[in-house]
Amino acid sequence: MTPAITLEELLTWNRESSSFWKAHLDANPALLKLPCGIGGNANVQAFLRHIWGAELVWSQIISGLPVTDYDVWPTGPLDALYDLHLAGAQNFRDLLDNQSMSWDERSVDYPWRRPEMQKPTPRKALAHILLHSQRHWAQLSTLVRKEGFPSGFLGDLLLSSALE
Amino acid sequence: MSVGIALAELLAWNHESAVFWKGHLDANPALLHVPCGIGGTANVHEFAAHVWGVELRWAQRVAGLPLLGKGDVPTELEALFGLHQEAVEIFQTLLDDPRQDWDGVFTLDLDWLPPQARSFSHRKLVAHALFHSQRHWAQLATLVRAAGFPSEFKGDLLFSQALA
Repeated sequence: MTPAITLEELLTWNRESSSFWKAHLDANPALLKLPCGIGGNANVQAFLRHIWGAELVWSQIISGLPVTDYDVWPTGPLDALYDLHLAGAQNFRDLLDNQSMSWDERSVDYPWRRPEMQKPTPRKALAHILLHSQRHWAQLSTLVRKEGFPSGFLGDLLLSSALE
Repeated sequence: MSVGIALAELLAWNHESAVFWKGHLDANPALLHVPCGIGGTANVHEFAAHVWGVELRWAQRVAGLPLLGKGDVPTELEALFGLHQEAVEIFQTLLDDPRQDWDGVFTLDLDWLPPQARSFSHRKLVAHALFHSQRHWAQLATLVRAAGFPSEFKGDLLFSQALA
């Protein structure tokens, strides 16, 4: 058997990280106002909107659902932003439970795909968005620490309960 | 096993990112002196040493090889990249070995982990090692951009050639 990390495990790891940051920002709401700059976001709250909004949109694209327009994503409060993540996670869950998914078919079309770029498979697209968040959480961890507010975020997969 | 990303694909993605940063730092050597602070490193040069040194040590651990000593990490960028290349060779050898027991338990001798939480599958250790680098490259992209030197690093899995 080819050794692999399953999308199921990546989703669990993704949920763990989001739960951490939701709780950490609930407990430290002043962090939401910290200037950010990553991905063109003015502050941490806007950065969260980018991370969790992207999760929802990709979940809809892969699922073939209507895509929530960027302009109608909530800008806050934190609970409303986290709901984007929860809705995305539910769509991911449904995808993983769907026995008829063709995971290796180059079928995922996204609105900003350039013509020279091939369509990714659902497998790649789902892994991409789950890891997109992890890469941004690593950046957020550095950002808040540099501003003098270390989060204690243990983002490495080694420390996740998603797999043994 | 359910749908997932093969460790071989993660290794290919890891190598793509390392090659990008080696090329970028070769072309922009002044970046090596940009102050860092991530993982206790003073500048980008030390950060690259951390990323690639850790990668090699994880590969050596899983393969049961003697570990690179912390005092044995070279200083030249070329030699640091050699640590990455050596790690890739070791990971590839492990992946090519049909006798490798990926779900077999490996107990780490690392005192920063609680004694009851030092046992992991080989599969998890390799995935962790490969993601550790990707999370750090994401941080580096932010760091050099914030310092005024955007790298154009496309670190998202979506842009990788490692999988379709």
